[in-house]
Amino acid sequence: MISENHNTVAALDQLTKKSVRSFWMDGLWDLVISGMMVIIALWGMLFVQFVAFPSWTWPFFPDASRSVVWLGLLILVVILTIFIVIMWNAIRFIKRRLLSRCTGYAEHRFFLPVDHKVYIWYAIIYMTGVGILYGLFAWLTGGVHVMSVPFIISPAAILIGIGWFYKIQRYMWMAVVGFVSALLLELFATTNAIYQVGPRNFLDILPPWSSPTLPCLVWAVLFFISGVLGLIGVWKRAHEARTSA
Amino acid sequence: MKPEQAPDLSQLVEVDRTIHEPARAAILAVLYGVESADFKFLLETTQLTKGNLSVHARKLQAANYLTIEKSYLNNYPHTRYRMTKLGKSAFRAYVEKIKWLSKAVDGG
Repeated sequence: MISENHNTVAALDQLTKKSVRSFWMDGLWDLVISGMMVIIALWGMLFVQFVAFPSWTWPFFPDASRSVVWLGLLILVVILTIFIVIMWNAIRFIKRRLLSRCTGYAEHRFFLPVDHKVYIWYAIIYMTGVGILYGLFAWLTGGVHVMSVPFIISPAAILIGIGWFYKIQRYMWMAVVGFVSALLLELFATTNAIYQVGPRNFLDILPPWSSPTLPCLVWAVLFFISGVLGLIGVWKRAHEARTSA
Repeated sequence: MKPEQAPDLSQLVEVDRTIHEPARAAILAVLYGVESADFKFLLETTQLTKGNLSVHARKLQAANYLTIEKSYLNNYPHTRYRMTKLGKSAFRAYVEKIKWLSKAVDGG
């Protein structure tokens, strides 16, 4: 009786998780996140130059103060919101019209009922990671890389949380590969810019600021690969179902 | 030393019998995680047979725990299931009751 009840609750919980999990399984959202990362990377390329190198922008924006430049964040939020709303509807259309034949169609809530443990895991990994990486960068490069560290650790923390609780294997390896490659590239591919000259490209950074561009591009590539793998998985399952029928 | 007390299991008889059937509980558990789902999705997620799924879904519809919408998609019949507010609260109450009973029997 006891184990029966435990099993019942656990099985029901697994089924609810399975239906939430389907949100990520086909990989379409990974493609959207990949696009989001490209947008943030492009924005970071411009934004950080204004914040970290105000004198470099002198001929073009002589009166641009850092406080005004921070309004750039607002522009990013607006752009990302528009992008997400468009993609939300596009994905619903694609899932309903094209993928439903293979996987069935479930309309997910905008605010997914994600297990609370995922948030706790995310917070722990993110805060610990940020603390360690700020220290590491300050020690090795002389600056904390305040703009790039959150983008190195945050996607990894989300992927580990979701991958672990919803048993999505590709997210687990993506988290590891993405974190390691973003960290190593940030450490070894960036160079310290000469302040008076300004940055020659997005790899030229000031150690206290750095730039989110490089880690975002790394994650964009990985999310794109993950999205393609997800779609291949859907195609494979549909093929298997057709051959076994 | 207190004598060992038998757990109060009187609530066992109050368990919602519409949900207390594996297939129906499974359907509601899947729908609980989404806004709505179609027949194929429920079939793949619950692993029920087509007949079982339709029969139990109709029973849940009769209890007002879910709604069934029939339409056409890509020129094929398309059935969509959506949990009602009553269904959500009944399912939550059912899971809580089962958990409570587990603990009561367990002595926790």
